[in-house]
Amino acid sequence: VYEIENGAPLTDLLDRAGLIDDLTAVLIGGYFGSWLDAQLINRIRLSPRALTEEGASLGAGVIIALGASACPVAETSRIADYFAAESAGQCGPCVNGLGAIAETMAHVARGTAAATAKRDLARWSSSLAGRGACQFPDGATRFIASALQVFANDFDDHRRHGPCERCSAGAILPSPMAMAY
Amino acid sequence: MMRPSPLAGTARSTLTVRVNPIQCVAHGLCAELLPERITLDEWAYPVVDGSALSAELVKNARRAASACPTLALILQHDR
Repeated sequence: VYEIENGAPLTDLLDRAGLIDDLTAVLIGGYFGSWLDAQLINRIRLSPRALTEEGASLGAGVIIALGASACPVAETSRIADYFAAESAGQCGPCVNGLGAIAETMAHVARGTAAATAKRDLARWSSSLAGRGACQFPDGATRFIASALQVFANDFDDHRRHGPCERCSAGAILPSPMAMAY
Repeated sequence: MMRPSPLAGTARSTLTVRVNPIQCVAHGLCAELLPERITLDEWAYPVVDGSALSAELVKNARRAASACPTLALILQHDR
């Protein structure tokens, strides 16, 4: 846990945590948060206003850096599985939508997705918010939509060519499910 | 000349429809009865347009709410 000044550059925080080289993206605000790409990492400051301008927020205050050796698709796909499993199962849009997102992402990661996968994922990640009794699907799809945007090239690459050499690297984003695997 | 609707004046606030997502189990009748505000997603769960109901839509909205087998469709007054 690091205490930082409002408005401090993100890079200062990453330096203090010893994370400087080869970052692909940084997740701000935990699993209901948003990804910042490499360009943004270098210039963004950690203030509510600066983050809001980039469609992000500190949320739970959790920041996770994804290094160049990790596969963004494999990481996102695992968290999508976690989201689907964590739905309380009370509302149809959440159960069906998060289930479909997880399943389709797994296919994309393996290179076995249908031709409609990209369009489907974009649609689901923008059509679930506000349709559950709680805001779990809102937060989950914020994360998914952000990943689809920031890692668009990686998703396209996996959809066409299947797993990359980074896919088998150890999981960076922690999830209780990964521990059970 | 148009006669005033019998509903005119009874509702000061605006009526809108919304869905109780826990009650809803995707029978889909609401979209049949109120297509002006409700469409169905690919799993037959409603996607609701929460904009104000015009006077002529209110009647169909009430019908749709009454027809919902799980009483998940709600008419609510928005100020």
